[in-house]
Amino acid sequence: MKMRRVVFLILVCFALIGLGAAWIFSSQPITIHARIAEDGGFMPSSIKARVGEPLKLRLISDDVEHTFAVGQYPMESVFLKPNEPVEITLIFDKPGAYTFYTTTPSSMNFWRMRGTIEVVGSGETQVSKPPLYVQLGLELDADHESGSEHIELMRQPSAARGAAFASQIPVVYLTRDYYVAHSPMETFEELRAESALRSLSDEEIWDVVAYSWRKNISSTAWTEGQRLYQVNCAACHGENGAGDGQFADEMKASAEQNKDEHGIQAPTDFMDAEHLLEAKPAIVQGLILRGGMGTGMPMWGSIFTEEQTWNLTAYLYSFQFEYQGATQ
Amino acid sequence: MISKTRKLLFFSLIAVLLTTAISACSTQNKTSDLNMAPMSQMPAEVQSAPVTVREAYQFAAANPDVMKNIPCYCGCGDIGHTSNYSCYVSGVDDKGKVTFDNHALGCSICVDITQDAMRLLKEGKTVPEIKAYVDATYSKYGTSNMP
Repeated sequence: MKMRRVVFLILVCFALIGLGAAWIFSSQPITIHARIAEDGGFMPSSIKARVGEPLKLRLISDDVEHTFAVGQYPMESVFLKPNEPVEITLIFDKPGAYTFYTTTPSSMNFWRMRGTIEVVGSGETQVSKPPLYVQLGLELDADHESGSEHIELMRQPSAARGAAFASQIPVVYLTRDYYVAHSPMETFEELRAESALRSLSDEEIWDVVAYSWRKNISSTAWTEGQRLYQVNCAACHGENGAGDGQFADEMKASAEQNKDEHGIQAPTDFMDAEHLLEAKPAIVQGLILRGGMGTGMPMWGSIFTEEQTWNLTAYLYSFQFEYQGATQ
Repeated sequence: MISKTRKLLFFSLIAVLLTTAISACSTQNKTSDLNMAPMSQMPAEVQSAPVTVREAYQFAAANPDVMKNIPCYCGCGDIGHTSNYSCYVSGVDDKGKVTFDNHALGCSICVDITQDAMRLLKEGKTVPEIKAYVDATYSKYGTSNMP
């Protein structure tokens, strides 16, 4: 009889201790250490969470300044000073794989500082579909600059000047479907052949192209694209898009060592007309989404929403087009 | 008898507490339990790469049977890559000497896919299950390099 009581008491103890431990550990935050990518990046890099349940994180930088952000989750980046822990709580309302990352360029490979929060539970899941460039049958890595003559613009195309010819522009050129599938150069060539625009000079036709591009983005979306660029892209491509960000020289040196064109390449110069004016928006968006093929350009599809990738795409064209004074 | 019972109870409690504490405090190494090629066999540029890239190369070199059955979605099918393995290894000679491909050094998706494969393998997933996960996760960004 006594033995039974003892066994019973032991089982009760097990249960109580188990419950206590579960309560203690569930209320404890998960500690994520941040180090430059060469020393490990975010550790751990894989976390699990449940829909609707608070995920407590304790973030600590072990070396230099970092930031912690979660893609497709409504939060501001958290700034991490060395050895100063920061605690945050996240609650996800949808299942899925969320990418956490840094926006602070702590080394040339800072874009490798990423991890995943796997959120399970009930909720609406996004139906995945192939990216637009795949749907359109476009080759992302083909040479998009080989088809036309060298582009030499006499002045920066202006959407505001192009607006003066709005009534003469065939409506097809202003549609979303046309915009995503044609490069500015293709659009210029097709507009040049339009009888309704025969009287316009080449410079004025380029203004019309800038106008038609501007019609495809609202001011709010353009501002969002600008913000995304400055936070995530400027470290490599430069604040003014000239491919002269803080790691540009290091990347160029690395590219010179890569004789077979694999590995880190020099960042694209968006101020070079041929890079953007011969690229269809669907190609630019695809490159943001997927990243370069072994070039050091990271994939952003797991971090940005689809809308954000389009906003950023539209913003990039403003390195070639003057949008000041024009409205959508 | 009472003394014996108390002793039994006391030691049981200690055992439970120790077990709980040990399991809670232990942190598993990300690459433990995985077959990894030694770092000394890696080219210098891999040895100086970010940790995730180093791990991916070590894993790829040591697990061709897994990696040859996992696709890549970075677009490398256009340059003749036939699986995620091709992003790391361009050839193995008759003596087993591996020639490394530096493609993955600058590739974002390649390494993400390999890190997913490593994690899922540790969780006990089979190669077809890992392939299904990779297809579902990465097909919204590009095209597979596997038929």
